[in-house]
Amino acid sequence: MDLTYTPEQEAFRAEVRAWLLANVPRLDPPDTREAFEEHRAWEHRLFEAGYAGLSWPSSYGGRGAGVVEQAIFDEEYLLADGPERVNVVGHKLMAPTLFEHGTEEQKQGWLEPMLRGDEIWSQGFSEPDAGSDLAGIRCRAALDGDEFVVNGQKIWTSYGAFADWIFALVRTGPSASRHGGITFLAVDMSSPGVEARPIVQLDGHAGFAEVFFTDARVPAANVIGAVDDGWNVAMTTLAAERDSPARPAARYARDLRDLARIARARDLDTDPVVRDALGALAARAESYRLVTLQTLTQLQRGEALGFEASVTKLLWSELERDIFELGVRLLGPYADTPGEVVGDVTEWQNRYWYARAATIYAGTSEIQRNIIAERVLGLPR
Amino acid sequence: MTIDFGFAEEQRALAATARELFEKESPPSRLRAVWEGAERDPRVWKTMADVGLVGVMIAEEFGGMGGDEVDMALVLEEVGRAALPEPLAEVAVAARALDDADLLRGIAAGDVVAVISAAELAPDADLAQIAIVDDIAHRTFSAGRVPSLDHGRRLFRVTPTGDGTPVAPTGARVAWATACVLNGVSMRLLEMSIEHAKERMQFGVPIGSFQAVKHKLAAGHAVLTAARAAAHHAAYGLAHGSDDIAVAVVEAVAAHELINRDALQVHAGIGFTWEHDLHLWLKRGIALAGTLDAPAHRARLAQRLFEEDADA
Repeated sequence: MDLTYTPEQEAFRAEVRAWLLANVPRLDPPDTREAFEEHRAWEHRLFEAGYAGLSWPSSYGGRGAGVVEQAIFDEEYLLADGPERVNVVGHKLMAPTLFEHGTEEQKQGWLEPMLRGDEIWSQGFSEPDAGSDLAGIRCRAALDGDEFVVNGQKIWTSYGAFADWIFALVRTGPSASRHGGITFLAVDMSSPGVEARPIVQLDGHAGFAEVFFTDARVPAANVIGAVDDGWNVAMTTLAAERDSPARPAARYARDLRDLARIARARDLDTDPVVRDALGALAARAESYRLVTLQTLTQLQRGEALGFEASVTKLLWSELERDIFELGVRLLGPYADTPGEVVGDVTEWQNRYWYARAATIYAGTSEIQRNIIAERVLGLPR
Repeated sequence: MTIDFGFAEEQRALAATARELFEKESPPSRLRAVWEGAERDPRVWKTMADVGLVGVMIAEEFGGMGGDEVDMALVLEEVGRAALPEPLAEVAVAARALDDADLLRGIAAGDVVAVISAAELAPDADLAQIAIVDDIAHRTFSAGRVPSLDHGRRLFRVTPTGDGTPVAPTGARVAWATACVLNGVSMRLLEMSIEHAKERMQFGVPIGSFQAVKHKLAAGHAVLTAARAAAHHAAYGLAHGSDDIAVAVVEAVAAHELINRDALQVHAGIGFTWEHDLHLWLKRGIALAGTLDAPAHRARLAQRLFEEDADA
């Protein structure tokens, strides 16, 4: 056990902090094409500065540093209040999937444009009738020569309205085969027959989209892994989505400091009930951070993220929800007019509703508990 | 490797040794005998000392292993998994506070027992040659038995009868060690519950196939993962000069409260019997969690939050 950073890592942290302080822009939410393109430009800026794909090999446009450097960057980025990363689906989900299952040609073709911000990725897993029951997907792809013809619909696609690519789970075998007969396919969203329609979320943001495929033709070379083996490939994507690399623990330390500020503003900072609740959440935030260090240790040892990723997902999502639920309780009569306490109403509402979504996206808490019970604890299905 | 938050092979091997030894020397049948009032068998303590478990944190020059809290953390979890009647955790921590060479040699060899009075009580004080009270080590003291709900341990109120010698502060280490043992108790409760859920048939299927049961056990596993990480981190801190154990305490107690409740719920009727072993662990857990005073640690963490906010 050794929890010290090397002098080089400390120097890297200082370098990142200084660069972010000088360069982090204030951008509007990427809800419009114009704002989205500003976010894309920022992604390009990060690439130019050498901060994209920190832990990826340089042959794919990365910096060839370690996962610790990536974690340091993510933490500093959060502390610097950097803009949301519109290519997070590419960096944190598609890239690990490609590293695990992609061909050399696929990695060469997709990774660097992803890092440069030239190609923004979205995820096409859920369908209107296949959410928690992901194996129930019906979007079909039929081979015609050296192309697949795709027909069907995806939904809840983050950044789907403006993304350049979507990786989709499509049915290539009979529905009855469930986990078999699913293929993992990358689709260029500018192809004819691909249409994205934005969905306005309950917080007013156009955060995700539904994506329709009508006889869309996709090169068979865009299959990641083997045809009909897409479920296996998707397991890598899902583990990456659930685990902590996508979730720097520093955000919760910041959120808790904000709660302390709200408690003070509401004259509740000496209330022992409030203090007890805050102390419990502070402990959970810190123990979550420690679980992320365990994951970092695993990654450094070259171990794959397994079903324990569901434990991580459960920990961060319920922590996040509980923090913001306490926030609303602390606001009390100001819950409907929080501006007088928290200042920026939009910012508060964004964070609050995003926290409420945390136990739903990337697999609901109920699904995570099923996975833990069956795959980790060995309980019968 | 930097940011290596895992245990070394030797540390895992030591815990495996402890597990095997406790399973052999202190199975549930022995714990039951202790409950019925069986005397301490000095051979068991000597055996633990012989394989090095008592002296993990004692310097090699005094016959110990020369390890630190990180080496001891997984062993302490095994103490809880076994609901060991012997005060191994307390003696190991007491040794960490002492610097008398002869005493340390005696403790590592299993010939001297030194205990710490925490929350005003000390286990097995009638068998101890040294009792640390308020961070002062006493050689002369009286020990009055105090009845406890968990009969698996024997608790005493220690009253010093002479002058003592001040020792290094013990409070943080006692709390940390107790948190580790408590996590071990939670591990065992969860294991028993999982086994029961796999075997107990209702409606023609194992009850562990029902989501209502699955979700309780999965939630317990998740919080216990976090609690163990916190206790392991506190071990690293104690080994490197930090005595910040608040998170380890709060998380161990939080995980235990959930697991204690759900272990009985999942076992249901059979778990509520004297005959079933479950209650031996339920009661050890309640006893240990109570001594940790989690509310005070939560208040401390909240205070820190307000201070950080004022600094920011």
